[in-house]
Amino acid sequence: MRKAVNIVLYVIISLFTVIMIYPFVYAFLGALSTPEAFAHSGLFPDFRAFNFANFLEIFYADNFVASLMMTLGRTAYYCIFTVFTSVLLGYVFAKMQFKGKKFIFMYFMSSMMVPGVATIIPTYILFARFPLVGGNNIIGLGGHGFINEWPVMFITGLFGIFNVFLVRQSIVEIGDEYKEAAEIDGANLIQIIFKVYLPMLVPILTYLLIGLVLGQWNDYFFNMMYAYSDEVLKPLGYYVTEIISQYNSYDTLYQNSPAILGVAFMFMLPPMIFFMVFQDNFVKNFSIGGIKG
Amino acid sequence: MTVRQKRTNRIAWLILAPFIIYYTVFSVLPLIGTFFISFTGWTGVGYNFGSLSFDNYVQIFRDPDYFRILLNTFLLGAVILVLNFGLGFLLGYLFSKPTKIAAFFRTVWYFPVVVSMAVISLIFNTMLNPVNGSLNVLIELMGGEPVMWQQSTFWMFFWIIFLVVWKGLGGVIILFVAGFSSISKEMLEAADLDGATGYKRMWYIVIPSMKNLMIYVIITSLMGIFSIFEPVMFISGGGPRGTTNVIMFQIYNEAFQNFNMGMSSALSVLVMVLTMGLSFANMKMLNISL
Repeated sequence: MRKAVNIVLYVIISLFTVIMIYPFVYAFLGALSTPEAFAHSGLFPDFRAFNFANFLEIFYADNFVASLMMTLGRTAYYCIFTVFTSVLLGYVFAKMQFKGKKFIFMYFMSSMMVPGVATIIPTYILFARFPLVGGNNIIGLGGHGFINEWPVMFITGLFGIFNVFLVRQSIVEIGDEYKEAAEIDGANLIQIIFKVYLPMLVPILTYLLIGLVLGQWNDYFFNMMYAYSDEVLKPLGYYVTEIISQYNSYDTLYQNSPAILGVAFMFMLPPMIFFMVFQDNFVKNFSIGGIKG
Repeated sequence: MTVRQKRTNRIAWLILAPFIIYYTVFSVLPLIGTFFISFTGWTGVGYNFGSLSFDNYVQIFRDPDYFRILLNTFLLGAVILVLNFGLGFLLGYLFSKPTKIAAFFRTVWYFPVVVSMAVISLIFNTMLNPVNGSLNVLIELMGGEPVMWQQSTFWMFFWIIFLVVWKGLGGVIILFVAGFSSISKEMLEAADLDGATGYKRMWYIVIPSMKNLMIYVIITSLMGIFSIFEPVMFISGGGPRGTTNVIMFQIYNEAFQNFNMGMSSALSVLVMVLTMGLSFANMKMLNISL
């Protein structure tokens, strides 16, 4: 009886799993199709043309290489900043006792009370009216500020207080022995933080960086809001939607769906491979406030 | 205060100083500014703010078009919350078994989480193409009439919900899997000896020991509904006739289509107020303190 229930259950789950992977399969098979064949295909696109050229479409896009470089450069930049700031501040909040520590921590933490959605327009106004940038005068008028200037892609989110907190929790768990031993050996603060503690924080930092790398690769929203003009070199997460829109047509019959799906599939492949490689690190091996995850 | 303590104070504040300035400029000042702008009808050009009034807020609650947006957001949110929680709990339970097949399912169900929402929305767009999209082709094969997805409020709601749940469920499942795996074997065995099986075991042991996790899932799901954007932007465009418009999409449109920074700010402040309690509860629960 129990076995029968299990089998039925697994059949149902398998059916749902098919729905889960259907968009990926659809994109893959559709990319193999041609516009003519695609128009007459069923639930699964007619892939018999084996039109592998659609998978290469993304590489032929005008700014593909530059855009990819932008994504990689931006990812590296934010990885370095995230590691540096969260370890440095994590250590300050974990191991140093100083006046006003609680207050300043709460001050930083108050940003967590505000959801990302609510900060989009405030940030836009700040960028657009930033003094002495992009043609703006000292009171921020006359130009467009940071909007559509490439530096805008490198000035926000240099440290995240929740990352700092997570690293801090790991540092607290490590204990003071290492710090004291290093002090006796004559190491200074910078050496203690980055030579003694940093190597022991690899698990939590790996977790943070995985999320960051994926977020950077898929980031569409930031450029849509703050750096969208044709003159700016955009990371792939946004540029890919521009590539796809070239094949889109308001006349639905004539849109080049196979090319759209080929570009989309190639863009989704790296994060999926990345996930399979680092799968074990996606689940946090620590718990916060009784939530194990 | 010892000399050593004084020195520590100085070093700590020296390290923190640039971060305090950076954080104040990039996070705190804009929020204060938005709060102020939400009481104006500022267009974003010049510094002509006009008089301060509650007009924007009054309009959000009086104007049926704006009220509809709030309603849409909550309606979407409620359905997504129930589906995320229900399916996440159920599948998290099933996938927490230490078998190979469960591990396979966990991997596959997580794929949607790691890909771009914008690109997935564009793929769904081709699937929902009324002429050659696969779903209409299937319907026609089964002898039905093709559906004009984009012109049906119901179907646009359906697909936005489908897409958001499809995209996020893997993350919820992973959380529940971790929750179910962390329940101690001893406790379950003891319960078995006492004769607690089936739903009793679920109700008295499993659910209480995952209470925090469940609250966490609910809070994050609720906060997530305010950031639904890409599916609305790419698939429904808020349509037909604004019936699937959500708050995030309106914040964007208000600022960049209507050039009404005042209203856009007011909606941002509204989101802030609506989620403040949630984020506070979340912080309390995650035990974020020194």
